[in-house]
Amino acid sequence: MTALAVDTIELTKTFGELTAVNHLNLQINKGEIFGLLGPNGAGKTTAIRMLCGILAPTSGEANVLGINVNRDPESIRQIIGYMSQGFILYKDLTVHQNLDFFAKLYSVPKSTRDSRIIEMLDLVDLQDFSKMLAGNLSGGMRQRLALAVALVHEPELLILDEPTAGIDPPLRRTFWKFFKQLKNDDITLLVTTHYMDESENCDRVGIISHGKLATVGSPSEIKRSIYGGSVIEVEVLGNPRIDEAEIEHIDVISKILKIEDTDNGFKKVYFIVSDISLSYPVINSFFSGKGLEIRSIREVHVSMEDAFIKFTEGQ
Amino acid sequence: MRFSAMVQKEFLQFIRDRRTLIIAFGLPMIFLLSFASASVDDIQNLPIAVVNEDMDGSLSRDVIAELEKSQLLTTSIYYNSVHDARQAVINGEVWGAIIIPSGFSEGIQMSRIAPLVFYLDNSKLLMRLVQPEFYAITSKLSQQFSIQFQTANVLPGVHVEAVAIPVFGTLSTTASSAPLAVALVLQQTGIILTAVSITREKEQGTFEHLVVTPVTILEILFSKFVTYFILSSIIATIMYGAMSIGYSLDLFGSLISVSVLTMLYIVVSIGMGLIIAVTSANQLQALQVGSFLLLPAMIFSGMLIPIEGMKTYARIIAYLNPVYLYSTGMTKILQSRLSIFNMNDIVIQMLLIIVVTFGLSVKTFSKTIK
Repeated sequence: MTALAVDTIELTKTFGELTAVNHLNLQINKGEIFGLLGPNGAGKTTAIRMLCGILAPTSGEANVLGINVNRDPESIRQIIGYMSQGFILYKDLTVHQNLDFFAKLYSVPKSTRDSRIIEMLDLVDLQDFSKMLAGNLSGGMRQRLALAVALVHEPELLILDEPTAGIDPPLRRTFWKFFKQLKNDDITLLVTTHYMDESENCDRVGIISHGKLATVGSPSEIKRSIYGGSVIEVEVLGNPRIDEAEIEHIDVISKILKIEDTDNGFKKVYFIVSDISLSYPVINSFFSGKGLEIRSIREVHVSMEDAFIKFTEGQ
Repeated sequence: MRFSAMVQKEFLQFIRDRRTLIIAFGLPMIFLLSFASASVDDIQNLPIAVVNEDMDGSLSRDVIAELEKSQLLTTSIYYNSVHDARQAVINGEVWGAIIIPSGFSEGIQMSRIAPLVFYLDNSKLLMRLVQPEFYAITSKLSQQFSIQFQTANVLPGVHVEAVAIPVFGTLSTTASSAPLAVALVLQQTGIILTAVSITREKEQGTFEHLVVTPVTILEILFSKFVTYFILSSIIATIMYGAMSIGYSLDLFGSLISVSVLTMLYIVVSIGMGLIIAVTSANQLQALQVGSFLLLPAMIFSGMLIPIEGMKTYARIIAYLNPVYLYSTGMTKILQSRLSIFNMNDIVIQMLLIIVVTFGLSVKTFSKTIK
């Protein structure tokens, strides 16, 4: 029994001259929320469609929940749930009819179908709209219905292609609450998003650029990997002339990132350190030794947006 | 500036859509070829049967010789009995049967008058083309025999009397035109409803959701088929019901044959709709192709231009035209009271079209997206 929900080996898809997905090696653990980030055209949707078995790869291999998608695409359909980028449910069916239709396609037994539909309507808070035509729902409600439909057959892996695109921040937050709740129910989630703040909610994130995985890891690992460590900002009075040679022998400090002037005559020195807690006393004694007064010392939080820009440069 | 930019944009969009280009330029070419191949000027060799009961008479050969001169008619088969010839007309095997009655030659020689009998298939809308030719032949024979037996203007002129007998007696125009009308309506509804229903799924993106579910290609196509088969059957029932009540079209004597042939034809139309659906990118293309099919379907229906008079390749197209097969079969059922179970050729041709269209649809329709 594999511990991986998704495992791709050199997965490639070309459209004529364009290589949309380029030898992608992606591993997603069961039970985690994995965020796939990347700029437009990076290959996220193409990769997802290959994982769903609705787009044949040009070369390489994709295994989903231990099933080879190339060889047996039909077997994975019952165990994955899919929510596409746009609203692709039946606008001329009601909320309930859409859920009922897809529940039947997934062979949800008649004995549990109605209760499952009610459960889904409760989850996405659409109980009062079950008789409304899907085409008359607001953008946010449509997304909620799409999520309910993707979950109606209790999939083991939920693949969500930009599920929060175009919806307001409170609802985005609600969605992520749903996702965490689903993770607690042992569902693996693969989510693509444009919103960098959202990616902080993922257990692990992969940044895809030019069809290749540029980096993968937890959000904090990825952020740290930008500079090779954590960033400490030290505000000092005076002019700290620091040679690289001076810090070479200090283990916890990797390097000086930059020195900036401030408006009030202070200087800001940015250090890259390997361990935050160990670095504070070391930095204090370093500046005391130089006779410089430290006004403040703090960790600078590198954002996922910084990481995203760094890893997708040139895309 | 703005206007030219708009025109330029329109042309660019038009040129870049390859399927629309094919529809815009390819289909008119097909129409031109259809018209050219089905040109009325070329009508010839419509088959007729001959029964010569005046074998001993010397003039029957002159009659046959005159018939053989006709460009429009061809004496395709000789029968010994009037009954067999009449049955051949009823069965639609020939357009008519000319009977040279016993004593024809003697009548001309002795009485200067004798009849030629023409059994004609009055269920054919195009019989108006054939009937004048028969009268022209009898008129020529009258002149020819008048000259032959004229002696110093003593004897009166010879009169070959043309006796035309419609094999189906008096027919309503509804009975003659109903099969074509129903065929065209059912083809259009079957094709367009099916094609649009599938292309709408592609266009609105719901197809993308369907293909990630465990539903199979066969289930998708068969569900479409069943739905539009039921709808088309209701349309056919309403049409025939209205004609039966409003125009006294007698269906009840042949209800099983009418139903079986109509159902078979609906399946053919849906098969054609499936082929259009799997090859069209969107609803507009499917609608365009579906609508364009109407004209060749009519041209090659055999109801407006006789198939027998067309060039060989045009005839082949006609024999593959479901509208021709249905209207011919239905005419035989309604007029000749022939049973569907005696129309193996039509049934086999329709079954072949069904196998090809459904086979290609299943093969072409893929549970992947482009």
